[in-house]
Amino acid sequence: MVTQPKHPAAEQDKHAVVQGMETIEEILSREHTIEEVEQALQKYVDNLDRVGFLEEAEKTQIVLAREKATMLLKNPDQYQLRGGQRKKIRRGLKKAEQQLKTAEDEDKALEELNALLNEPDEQPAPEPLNEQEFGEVVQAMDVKELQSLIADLTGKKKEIEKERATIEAGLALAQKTLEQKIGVPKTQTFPDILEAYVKDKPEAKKLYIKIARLQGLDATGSEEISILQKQLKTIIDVYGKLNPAQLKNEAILQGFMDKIKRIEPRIDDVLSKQDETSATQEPPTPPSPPPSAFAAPPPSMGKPENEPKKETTPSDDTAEAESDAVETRRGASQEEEKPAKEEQPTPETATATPEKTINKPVRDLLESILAKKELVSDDDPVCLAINALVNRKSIDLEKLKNFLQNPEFLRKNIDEKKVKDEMEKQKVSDYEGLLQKLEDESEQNKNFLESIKGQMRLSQDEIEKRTKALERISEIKQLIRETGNIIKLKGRTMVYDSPRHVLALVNFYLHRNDADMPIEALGSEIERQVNEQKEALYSGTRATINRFGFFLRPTLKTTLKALAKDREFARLGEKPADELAKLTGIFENSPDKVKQWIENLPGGFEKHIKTTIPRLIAYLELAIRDGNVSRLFKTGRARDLVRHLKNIQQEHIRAGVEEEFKRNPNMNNQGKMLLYLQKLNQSTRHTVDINKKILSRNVFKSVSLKGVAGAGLGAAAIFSPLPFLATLPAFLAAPTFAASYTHRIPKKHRPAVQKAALRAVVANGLAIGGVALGTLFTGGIALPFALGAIGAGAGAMSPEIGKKIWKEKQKIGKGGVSVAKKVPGASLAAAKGGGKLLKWTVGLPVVGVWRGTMWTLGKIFK
Amino acid sequence: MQTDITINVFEPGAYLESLMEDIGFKDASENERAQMSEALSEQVNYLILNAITLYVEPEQIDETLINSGDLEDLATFIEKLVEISPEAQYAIIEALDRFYTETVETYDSFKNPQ
Repeated sequence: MVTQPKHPAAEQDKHAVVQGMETIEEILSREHTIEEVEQALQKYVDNLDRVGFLEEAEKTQIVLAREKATMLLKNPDQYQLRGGQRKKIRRGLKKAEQQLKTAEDEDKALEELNALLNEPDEQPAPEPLNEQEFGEVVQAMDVKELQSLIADLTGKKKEIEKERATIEAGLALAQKTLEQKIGVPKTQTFPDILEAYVKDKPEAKKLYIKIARLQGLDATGSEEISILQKQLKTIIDVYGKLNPAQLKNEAILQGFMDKIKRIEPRIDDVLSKQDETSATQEPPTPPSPPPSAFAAPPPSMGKPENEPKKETTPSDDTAEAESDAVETRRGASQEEEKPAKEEQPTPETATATPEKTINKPVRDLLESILAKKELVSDDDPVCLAINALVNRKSIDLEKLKNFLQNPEFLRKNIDEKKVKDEMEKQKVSDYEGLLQKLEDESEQNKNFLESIKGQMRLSQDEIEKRTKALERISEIKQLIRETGNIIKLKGRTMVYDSPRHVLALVNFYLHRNDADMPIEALGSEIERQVNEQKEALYSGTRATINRFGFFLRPTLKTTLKALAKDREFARLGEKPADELAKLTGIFENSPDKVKQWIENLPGGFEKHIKTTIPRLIAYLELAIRDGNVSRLFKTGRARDLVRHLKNIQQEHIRAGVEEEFKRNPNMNNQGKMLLYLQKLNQSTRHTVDINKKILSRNVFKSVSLKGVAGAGLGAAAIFSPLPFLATLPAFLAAPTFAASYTHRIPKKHRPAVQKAALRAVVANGLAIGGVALGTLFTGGIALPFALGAIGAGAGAMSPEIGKKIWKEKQKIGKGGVSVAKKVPGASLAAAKGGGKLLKWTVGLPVVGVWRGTMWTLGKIFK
Repeated sequence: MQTDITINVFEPGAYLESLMEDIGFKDASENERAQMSEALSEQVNYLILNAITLYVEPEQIDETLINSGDLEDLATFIEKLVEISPEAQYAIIEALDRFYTETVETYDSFKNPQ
């Protein structure tokens, strides 16, 4: 399986590849040693790597592992293999062969697919294409073809949307007609239906009366009443939104009653209390008479009563204002229930008692109307009336009546027909909905403004622009999702390694440049920017690094030399630093040599085990992270070095435990193990602390930030729950992960901060031991792994984990570590093979070369 | 391209239980077992998170956090990261395997001092 070369390959390199293969064939055809084959294969792999045939190189790695394993098995005595190791190698060999077979199958499958695609008549229809096949198709297209494909698809999408709109309209019409045919009167509302429903059901009727009474209570001063009323309103609102046809269903009505029944005891409680107080305080006023409540359900029950009332109620000119008028009357009609009987003859006195009858929902509604100055003006008599109702001011009803009946006023302001039409058309509930919508919108706007406040000062125009841009983000995200494959594939061969980068770019573009750019044009814009980056990459100094990276590729040795200049290590002196760099050499990279180096350092072993070693581990892991991300230098030796250093630490801890044992001979083996683990954890925490210090000092230079900063997109932070820079120092200053990440953070921001903090932890390797996370993994939580692809190559780690396999391993022998000891390099090579194989099998995207180069790493250590 | 991934399940509980058995904590007192379990899981957590950070790119961590960053469900979060970078899971397994072997070796050395 051959991929496109990453860089233009020089002819001699290609020649070297061919020659390398011939050499291998020649060696294999005669009597040979492992070392010989290994050397030739390694050279071949390097050449392949250089000309960009990465996958071929990976496959050859497996061939190498297979060949080596076969040789080992052929000469077990020569290589002093024990039974367990042989078994292990044999298993690895089998895996490697399987993997190679799969690769061949894959090649075949790919060929077949290509053949299929080349037959125009049999091109599969777009719908049944699965993602992978589609990916293959689009990969084969050039930029123009891709653009026209996107245009085509967008056109089709629009057509479908149009069709959908037509279907939806048809559906709505059909539903409406059905309702009419079923005979549901248009004006019938939930309260009406409910009333009809409870008429012949004494139980339900009782409950209904209670509801009505509760609605009529004044909630001021009683939290309980107010809570109950709110609950009731919520339930009623839910049912009020159903259409009349649905409400005809008795089961639904019964459901409503059941819901009310749940809060019935509390309603009873409130009502009986209310009865008591009214009995003691106001004997002349009887408790709200059930029949009247029943006859006139409270207005807050979703829909109003049938409308035909005095339509002459004047108000402002606007339709909304007309609704206000309805509200007013509704309030008034509540009010009038009692006063109408007693006080209508002397309207002036009506002013004294109306507040008693205004229930809270009505008052809330009226207040919200009053608050909308654009709907009502203060000197409007209707507004005055509302004010009187709400604020319990006295009002001259006669004056109001006169005013309202003033023909002059009516002629001037009221179009009676319009009022009538509007009243028919626009139900109060509609108004409530409108109001809610307005409030929601304003809440959203408020939140939005709140969220950007403090970050930057924006003019009104800018805010509008951004709001618009935000709206478009979801639209664009959809586009990106649809063309995700294309972008992914583009990203793989170009600069951007993930759709997220491109998305960040889009976002950036939206926010900084032109929010009105048509979505279709964004695709080509992304293309252009990607190309720009690419050109920049291949010009100037960095081009040299990237094009001839293999010549200038900094080694771990140079990294360590740079490291030695760091103030942490400078005091060790130049010689030890040079020696440290040498330790990465193939012959020097051994536990003994590393130990020797530490012992020779000025200051003594004891001191360095606590300072230099953890520091070195922290720096090396930082370098490994960078190497793994950039793939520009190999990290194998750095990893070996880290392992040697950790082994030295462990040995030191073991010795410490033995020392302790000498002082306390009663300690049993379990006690020793506990002490050992505790000391090991302490040392881990120490390394973590050093990591934190490095990062807090070099916060702008940290590897993780490089991704964001290096992308040249401050806008990448748009995707972050919180700006990274703001949370990182706060996090780093904190003593422990769990206790600190939400310290002094307002509750509503906590989830975002937690996420950001966790990212800081994970991204920087600050795996804070078990201090906070300990419980997360111990409570029987299964940690799923994609293990299927693991385990290729001789001596690779066991393919399954679980109790059984751990037990098996113990039976077989000491596992991978001891194999590595007996057969130098075997485990490492196999591990490499396994790792690369995974990348190959699962199709890990190739990471952009411009990011995380050693050039940048060098800067980190400067 | 073949992208099928077999999902097996690593059970930290089983791993720790097995390891504890191998280092002589099978018949230890409840208190001792609890202490050891805590100490081991601290190390295991560190190993897993550290292995992930060695292989998963910060941007991918970001992306995963945005899409499925639920701190209540760290296992799922890690699973997502591991899906992004199979090398990370390899590193996790390698680290856990090595830790297992080394811990047992340490126990052996305590049991049979030279």
